[in-house]
Amino acid sequence: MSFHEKSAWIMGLLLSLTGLWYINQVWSRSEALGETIGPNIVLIAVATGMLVFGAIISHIIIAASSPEEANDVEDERDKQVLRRAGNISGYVLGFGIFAGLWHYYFLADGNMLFHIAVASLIASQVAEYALTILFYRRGV
Amino acid sequence: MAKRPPILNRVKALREAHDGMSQAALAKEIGVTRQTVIAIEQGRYSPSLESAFRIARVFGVSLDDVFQWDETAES
Repeated sequence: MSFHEKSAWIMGLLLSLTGLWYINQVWSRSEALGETIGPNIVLIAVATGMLVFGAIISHIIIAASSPEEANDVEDERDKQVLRRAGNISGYVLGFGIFAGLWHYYFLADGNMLFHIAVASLIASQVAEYALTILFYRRGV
Repeated sequence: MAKRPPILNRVKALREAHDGMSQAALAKEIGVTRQTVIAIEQGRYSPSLESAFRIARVFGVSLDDVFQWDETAES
């Protein structure tokens, strides 16, 4: 398994866990408040901190386990895999933002629009990691 | 599921005939990662024209001796 694939596994898992935690926090706080909570910079900062910390630690571990592969630069296949995964994940982001905008159009809930945009970003990034793994395994 | 490219190759056979050249050594010669050489040998990836020529040059053979169109896959 290449360094890029290992990285995609780890980042996909970390982002899924962090994203689920963030969405769960927003959901439970909104339920307690009786309406959608506004953008919460502390929640976002904590989620980002967890993600960055986890990414640094895990990448140090996988780089230490195979230092030669960690130093590999992206070759033509890596670029093709990453480009295709990024391209398709862009549709996930676009769909989420589009859905959020229509939700805002009908319900005028700006807070929900913010959360839908954040969730779409997370979903598209998770999709990108999942597709990266798929294309590495099945071929581009 | 990604469709396998209809291209057969003799990279593994040529590598083994070339004093048992390792995948890592071939990868270094042609400027790709070892995983890409593995993917080429397993038919999961078709290299760029430039890399295909580089592989042929490493083994001192023509492109046709390394890569062949898979007629059965086309039908």
